[in-house]
Amino acid sequence: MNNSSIKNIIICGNGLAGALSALALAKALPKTTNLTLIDTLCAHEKDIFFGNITSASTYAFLLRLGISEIEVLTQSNTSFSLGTHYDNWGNERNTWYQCQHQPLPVLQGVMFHHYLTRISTKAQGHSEIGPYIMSVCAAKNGVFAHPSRDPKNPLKNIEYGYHFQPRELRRLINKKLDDLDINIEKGTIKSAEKSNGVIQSLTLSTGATICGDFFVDCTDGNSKIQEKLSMLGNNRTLKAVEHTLPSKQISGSCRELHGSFDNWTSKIFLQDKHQTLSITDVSDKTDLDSEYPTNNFGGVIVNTGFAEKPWKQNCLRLGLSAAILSPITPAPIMLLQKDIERMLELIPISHDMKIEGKEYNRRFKEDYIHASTFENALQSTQTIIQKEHFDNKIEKLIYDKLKRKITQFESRGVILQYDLEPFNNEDWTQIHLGMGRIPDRYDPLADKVEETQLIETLKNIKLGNKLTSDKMPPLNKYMTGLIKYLRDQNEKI
Amino acid sequence: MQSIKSQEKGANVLKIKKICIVGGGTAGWMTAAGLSNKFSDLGISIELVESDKIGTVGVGEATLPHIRYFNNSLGINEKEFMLATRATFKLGIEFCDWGKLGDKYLHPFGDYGMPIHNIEYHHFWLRLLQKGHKSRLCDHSFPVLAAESGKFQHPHGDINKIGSNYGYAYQFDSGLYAKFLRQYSEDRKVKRTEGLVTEVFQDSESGNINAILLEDGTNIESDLFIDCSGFRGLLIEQKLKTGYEDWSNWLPCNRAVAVQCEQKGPSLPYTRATARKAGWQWRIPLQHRTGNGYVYWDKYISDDEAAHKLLNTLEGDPLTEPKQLYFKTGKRKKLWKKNVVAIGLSGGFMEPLESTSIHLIQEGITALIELFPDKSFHKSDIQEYNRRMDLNFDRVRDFLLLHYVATQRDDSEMWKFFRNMMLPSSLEDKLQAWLNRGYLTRYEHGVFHPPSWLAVMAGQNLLPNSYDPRANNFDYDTIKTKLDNLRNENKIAVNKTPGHASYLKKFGASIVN
Repeated sequence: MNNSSIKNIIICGNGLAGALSALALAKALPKTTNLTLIDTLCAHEKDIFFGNITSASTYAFLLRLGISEIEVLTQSNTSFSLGTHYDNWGNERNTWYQCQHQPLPVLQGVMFHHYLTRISTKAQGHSEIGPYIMSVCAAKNGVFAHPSRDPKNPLKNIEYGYHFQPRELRRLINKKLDDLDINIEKGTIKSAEKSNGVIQSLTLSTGATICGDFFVDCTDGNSKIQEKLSMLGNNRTLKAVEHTLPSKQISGSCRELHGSFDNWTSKIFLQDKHQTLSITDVSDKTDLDSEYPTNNFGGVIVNTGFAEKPWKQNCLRLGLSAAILSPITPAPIMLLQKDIERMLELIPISHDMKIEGKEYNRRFKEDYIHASTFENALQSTQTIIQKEHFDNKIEKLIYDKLKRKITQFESRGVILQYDLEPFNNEDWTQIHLGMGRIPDRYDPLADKVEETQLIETLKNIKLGNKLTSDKMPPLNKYMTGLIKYLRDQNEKI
Repeated sequence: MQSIKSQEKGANVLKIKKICIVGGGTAGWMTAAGLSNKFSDLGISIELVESDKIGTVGVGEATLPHIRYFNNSLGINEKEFMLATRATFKLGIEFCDWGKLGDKYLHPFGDYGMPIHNIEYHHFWLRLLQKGHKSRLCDHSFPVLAAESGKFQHPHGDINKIGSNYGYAYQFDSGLYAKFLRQYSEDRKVKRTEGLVTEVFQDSESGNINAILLEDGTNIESDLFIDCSGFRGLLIEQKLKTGYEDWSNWLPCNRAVAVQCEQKGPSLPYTRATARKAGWQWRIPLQHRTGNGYVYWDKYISDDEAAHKLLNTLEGDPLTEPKQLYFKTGKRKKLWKKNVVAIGLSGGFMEPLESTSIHLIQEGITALIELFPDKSFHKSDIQEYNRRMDLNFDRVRDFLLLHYVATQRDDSEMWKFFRNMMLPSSLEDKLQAWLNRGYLTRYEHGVFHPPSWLAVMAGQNLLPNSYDPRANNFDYDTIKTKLDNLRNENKIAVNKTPGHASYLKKFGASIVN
């Protein structure tokens, strides 16, 4: 009853990537495939680089893995997130809310932001987009509500992700794994036995030998499974420092972030605490070991970038062993989800995995290039345009794509989109405007909307959003009420 | 009251004030209609120059569903449009004799079944198939079954139901469509000028085209020129020497002969493409006649023989003399150069196997509207336009080539040629991923998406050895029942669907039969 000769899949490492991969595979595959998760007994400190904010796609992703929002809320300290407030960002001190949102209205076939360029004046500068975005209005007020199904309610446009801690989410997933048919082996990986580059088995510190057909390497990249890879893309050395303080009060429905591209601090509210996560670029520091000791309270240091070919032979690197991005945007968790979905679509069916590997690697590269393009958009336009030195050819490609996007936006407000980008038009519009990239001109077709009608339409959207956000409860109140309700319901059952 | 930005820049000297379209035909008048709808009330004047002395090619008589968005954006009423162009509805294309002689399948505009737990439907079909439970893939598609029964109705538009979210297009008289759009454009202040272009003037400094001179001495100046002059590319090639990317190593058919004939039998809601020994033959049923043509490779058949074969296979008496066409498959190296944008045959040509000619015109117009220039003709805009159009052309090319290479035919030199062909790697990788495990590669920008690839590959007997192993995670009988149910639901739905001809009559069509 099975078309596959892959009988044993080994997932190495039970950090967030490993736990999610194991759960995803267990849910997807019939019981005839044996799954083994190797708990490498490490603290998974680098998981902090999955960041503290997810995108709107996480809800559906977790649901597909059998994890409901109710479980996320009642069994981890996760709270809701409308986006990020970049506060006094960079040298230009830009301040804006970067929120998730349904597509903005299109008038006369012309995208919304062109109308803002049209009504802008020299005296007042470019019109703000925030008041027209429901989630931005809510984020500013620190309020929250689930999206409405009523097409007339401005709340229909809201989208949300989560504020989370990777370790808490991992704990929840591990609990799920207990109920599934997965062998768990504990021990560090001492060696990988290969034949013609194909992994036959892994030997653990316990002396156990784990044989497998397909290996998913979800370690932090320092395992003995494969040789160390050179990373492409944005090659930087980043240090993360996390502080948490207990707090029963959730004061804010978005992530607060300030600083600059190379040195920033974010703050989020979880259900029981608030977390501060600081990231510093330490690429120029020569004596890292003494100045920034790893594995202690001083922080976690990683090299960012992504593998050119994460899938080689019968081993797929997934998670931190294949890619580390800066958690400045929700990209790290978004792409982890994409990595897992991509793996599911390409679970090998025979020992010849060349085709699966090639397609996985192609899509992986595209996704990481596009995510890095978005991340780099948080640098000043001047830095981007003037950048001439590139560490690798992919980094150059990322900047070339970004430059084309910026040129199109600044010259005429066009959002240039490549194939299947993880960040959509709304994300790009907000980041460009937030970073002070103002289109020189707007789509001439925007002139088709009569001036008084345009001003009336804009006024109504703004007013609808304002009235709605004024009525919404603060996130704290909403969460407390919701969780109490969910727990009561649970007890009744 | 705020001062409005456009008023501040009201005296913008860089604004394009005049567009000149060189050439009528489908491309010229679609461009005129598209641009006049958007720009004529914004102080931009549009002039179209054409000559009755130059005929139009007008082979593109079958369309893709995207044409409806174009018509909708122009505010065109469907009924009026169908009456004016003698149009019929189109649910897809029937391909005969492509996989092997005697085969046929329909490529519809829609999915085969909905994904089950995020796994594409066809993997479940493959699982059953590989276990010996055979069913036609197309029985899972409502539009295919409706087309096969000669039936049609508008989709209800419920995206959650497979039986109501399919697309449809039209088959129409492209000459009448051009005429219809001419009226539309002239109503929107497009000036039509009759005349032959005898000279083209270029600015010595910028290299831009300044003006064209007509036979009667009329000089037409313009800021932007749209070259719709057909294969010869009067401006883009003859003047600007842009160069042509020759794709005949992949798509070597280089001639066509077309003829219209009387219609026999009921008007069918689909186009037919029948593979021949040295090319293929089209059949496009309109309200009042049937369009036919034979696309061939002159290496393996002479013009006379091709015309003879075409005339011999007509269903009714010919209404016109056979019309001969010569072409070289490929595209202009740059579809936009200087202040000239090539739209239609001047930009490139690919055989009308999947009705892409009009679609590529439409893509060109849409991209031009979004990237509409000012007189400085920013390099970045031109690059972006060309990037987008290149992608569109490349992806259509791969899809067309798929039809020729996914074949078991070896009954002629042409088919043997395709069987030994070295494919573009973009196509080779797609085919391998499909054959290995039923995996369909996706892209976002381009016209043919996974269901289309699936239709052609499965339709031409290119079946994978395996399928997504996740499809094994469901009880066999449950899946079988699910698929059986969809096929039954489709059958029931088709029974309730009106015949295409009677449905057309409701649209005021005067059907021959």
